[in-house]
Amino acid sequence: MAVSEGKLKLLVADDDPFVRDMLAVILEASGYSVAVAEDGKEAFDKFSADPGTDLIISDMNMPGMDGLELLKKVRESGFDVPVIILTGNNEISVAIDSLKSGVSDYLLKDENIQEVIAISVEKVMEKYNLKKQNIQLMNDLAQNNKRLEKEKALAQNVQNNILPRHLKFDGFEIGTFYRPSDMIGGDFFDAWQTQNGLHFLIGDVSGHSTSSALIMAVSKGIMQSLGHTMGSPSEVVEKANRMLCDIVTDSGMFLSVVYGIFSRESGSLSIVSAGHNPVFLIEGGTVRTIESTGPVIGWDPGDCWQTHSLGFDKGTGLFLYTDGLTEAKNGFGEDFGEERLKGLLSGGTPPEVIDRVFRAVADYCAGEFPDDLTMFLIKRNGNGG
Amino acid sequence: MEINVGMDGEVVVLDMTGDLVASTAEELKGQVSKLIEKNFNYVLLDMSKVNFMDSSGLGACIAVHKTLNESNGMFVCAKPSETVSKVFRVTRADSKISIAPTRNDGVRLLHEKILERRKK
Repeated sequence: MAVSEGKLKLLVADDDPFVRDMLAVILEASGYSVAVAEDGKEAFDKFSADPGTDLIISDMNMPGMDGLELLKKVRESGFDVPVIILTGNNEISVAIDSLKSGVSDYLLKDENIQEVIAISVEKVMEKYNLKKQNIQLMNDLAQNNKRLEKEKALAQNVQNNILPRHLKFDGFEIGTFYRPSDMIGGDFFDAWQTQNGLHFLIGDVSGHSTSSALIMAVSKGIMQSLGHTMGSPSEVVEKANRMLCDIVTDSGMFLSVVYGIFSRESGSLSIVSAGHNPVFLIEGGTVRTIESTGPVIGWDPGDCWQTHSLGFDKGTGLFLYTDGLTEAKNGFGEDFGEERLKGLLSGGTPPEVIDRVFRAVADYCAGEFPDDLTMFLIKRNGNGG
Repeated sequence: MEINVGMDGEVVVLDMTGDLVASTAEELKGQVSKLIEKNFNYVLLDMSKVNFMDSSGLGACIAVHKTLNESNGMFVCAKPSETVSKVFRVTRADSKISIAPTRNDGVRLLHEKILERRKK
């Protein structure tokens, strides 16, 4: 029989020619293409010759190979084609055995069979197609996830290269720590030397999404290039703000930044904090808190920032961090907090201090860091005068 | 998170329950966009039942503040918890967004603004 294109292919196996032909007529009238077999063996041979069969309808009791054996053989060959079992036997145990063996439906060969067969085929095929679609969707999803993870790993590499690895400057020691909450993050930091002094910055872009990572990269680039030509932190921050306002527009994204310049000539430090959490000046055993000097960046291109001017004698340190540190939470939902942090800052080299702080906070929050976490400690070498 | 929308005179009051974080920030922004489309430009966000706000949540407040200002409206946050207030304070967002100690104070502030603009 020629198979018309687009028609579902059914295989009917029954040793009773009357039932077999009746089913074939009914199903062909319902729009299916039907092949028939006299017993289980012929059915299996026909199926093997054309595994594109969409559904098998088989009598339970047939000479030689019965319906359940046929099902077993088909499954052993690696096919999950749905199978409907027909039987004259209305014992419940037979129905249960069939369904347990993976039969899609079980029908009694009584006077209703003419009405129910087409409905059963339709239902079984609908269920089977849904299952197939589901598997396909799950596979697509898994593949997409794999691709995204790969992309993220690439982005992580790029981001790691954007951040400095070693910061070494005459007369200073610097310690840093960076840990994004996911593979990529919105935190950044850097330091560089220009003619007018040593520049450094720390920033935190809102959110932890891919867009945060993009804004992070752009912001750091903008500020670094402005910092090479401009002499005061407020100039850099105000100009960067005007540029970044154009980029973030009304997305609601913003960033907090601390930008500092140490002048070697005057030995003083000028700092602008754009809506960033307080930073700490460590002078011997004393820790001074420095609050922000204006709003976050990315809100209003007309915003201005005041500048803190501080003495920065030998032996003095400045600790900058992002809020992933002070907002790390313990089991009771309480913040690690600024006071606990301040208590850990005096004594030791910058890498030692950072190590001490990280151990304390990791212990406090049991290693659960939902936010990006960055620390930056710059210390002027020598003993305080 | 849940946002209930109500009116107090000409002011729209958004009553928010839950955390204002990345996953809920879009809902707040979307809600306010819909209000602006219908010409409701004076919005109060009652934050008394908001326990926590992260940077994305603050970002939503900033975006809402910007869009309402651009539509000649006004945005007021009322009764933020101490944790939420701290975020407004540290980021200096409280220098731009009006923060009212109570819902009634916030509604009054918005009505005053409406009257002031009508007089002009």
